[in-house]
Amino acid sequence: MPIDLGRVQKEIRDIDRDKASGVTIEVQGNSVQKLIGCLKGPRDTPFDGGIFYVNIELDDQYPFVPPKMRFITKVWHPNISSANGAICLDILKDQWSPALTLKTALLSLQALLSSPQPDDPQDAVVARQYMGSLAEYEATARQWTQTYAHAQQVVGLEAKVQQIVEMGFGREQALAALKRANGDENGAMEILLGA
Amino acid sequence: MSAALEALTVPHAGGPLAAPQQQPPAGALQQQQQPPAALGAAPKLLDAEEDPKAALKAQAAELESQEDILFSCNICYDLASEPVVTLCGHLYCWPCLYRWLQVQSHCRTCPVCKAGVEKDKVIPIYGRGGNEDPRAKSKGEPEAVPQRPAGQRPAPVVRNPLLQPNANVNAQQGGLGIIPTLFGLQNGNGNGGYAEPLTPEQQHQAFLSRLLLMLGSFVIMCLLLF
Ligand SMILES: [Zn+2]
Ligand SMILES: [Zn+2]
Repeated sequence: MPIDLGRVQKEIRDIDRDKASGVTIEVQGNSVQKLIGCLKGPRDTPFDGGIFYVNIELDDQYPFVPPKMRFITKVWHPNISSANGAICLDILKDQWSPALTLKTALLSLQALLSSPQPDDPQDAVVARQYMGSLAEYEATARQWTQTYAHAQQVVGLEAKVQQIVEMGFGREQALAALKRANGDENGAMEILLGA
Repeated sequence: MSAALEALTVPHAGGPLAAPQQQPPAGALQQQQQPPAALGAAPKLLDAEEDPKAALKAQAAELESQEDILFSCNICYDLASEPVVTLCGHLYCWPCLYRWLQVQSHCRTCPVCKAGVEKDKVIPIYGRGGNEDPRAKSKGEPEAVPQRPAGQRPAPVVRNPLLQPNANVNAQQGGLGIIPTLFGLQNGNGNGGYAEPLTPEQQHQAFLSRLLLMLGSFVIMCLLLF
């Protein structure tokens, strides 16, 4: 059975309309099954001031199965893999319900940033640090936010897009490839040339 | 949406440990691997304004959805087709709810409130129109979805004729103390007049027991008075 397009489009429209929610979503290419979500780091946390991007993939079975979500932006957090952005959150696993939405899932990720669950970690190293020395954890997390999630990084991306566009690719194409390559311009070029 | 809210406010992490991989030192700036954080520099959300026709369509859809929102399925967000309501009161298309119950193997719960849901305990809703919605067809269901469970038909509640002259009964009760109760006019819901219907047998038994009670109290009264 193909994915329920109507519901996904309604969800996207709802997120779009609700400017106050602090999360946004963007379709990646032609299919609504690949999206990129965006959330702001919660205040009074080491993630404050950061903008975090989340890769979202919707299975054909959505909303009967949870959306697949993974942080694109590197995050230092006990429940998020510092290596690949994999997320450990119950509602993205067995606690999913079709009454939840992409918006509630993104908001849950924001809540997860505020309240780590070190007992059930995704990243053992971060969790150990969180349990052992909270101050150290916060410092590292803040450092990572500044390094990977701050708005000034945007400038760097624009340069890469330009670089790829100059090689004769479309802007859209360049952005999509960069997203898929996690911002690595060489990876993006490989994707574009391979495709 | 209490469940969703709960999920929102109490994120609970769970899952396998990731194999610890190379962790960049805290302060290491990895400039050569620019973070993709920048990707949404100009977040391009689905923008209806790009195309006036699309914008109009979107607006129409929005109006429609606001009208329908009360009666839309909690799973597909469309106007519920073959609507059923769970005992906890949440509305779904029967095909949507059926599919969810199939997906949930161990413990079947309402997607909205997590109350238990049993397939044959949902209540179908029959509107005025035909019970078939063309959308149910267009959605296409490869796996056969069985018929909705039928509605239950409880026996109608009847007005008990014994309880009709309520005003009189109350007046008598005021004047005669316990006596009216002996005459079988005890009236629990004196103002409503609705009562569980009694079978003829029950009525007969009630009559007999009242008669006995009356005789007994008559004897006692005689003993007291004479
Ligand atoms: Zn439905
Ligand atoms: Zn419910």
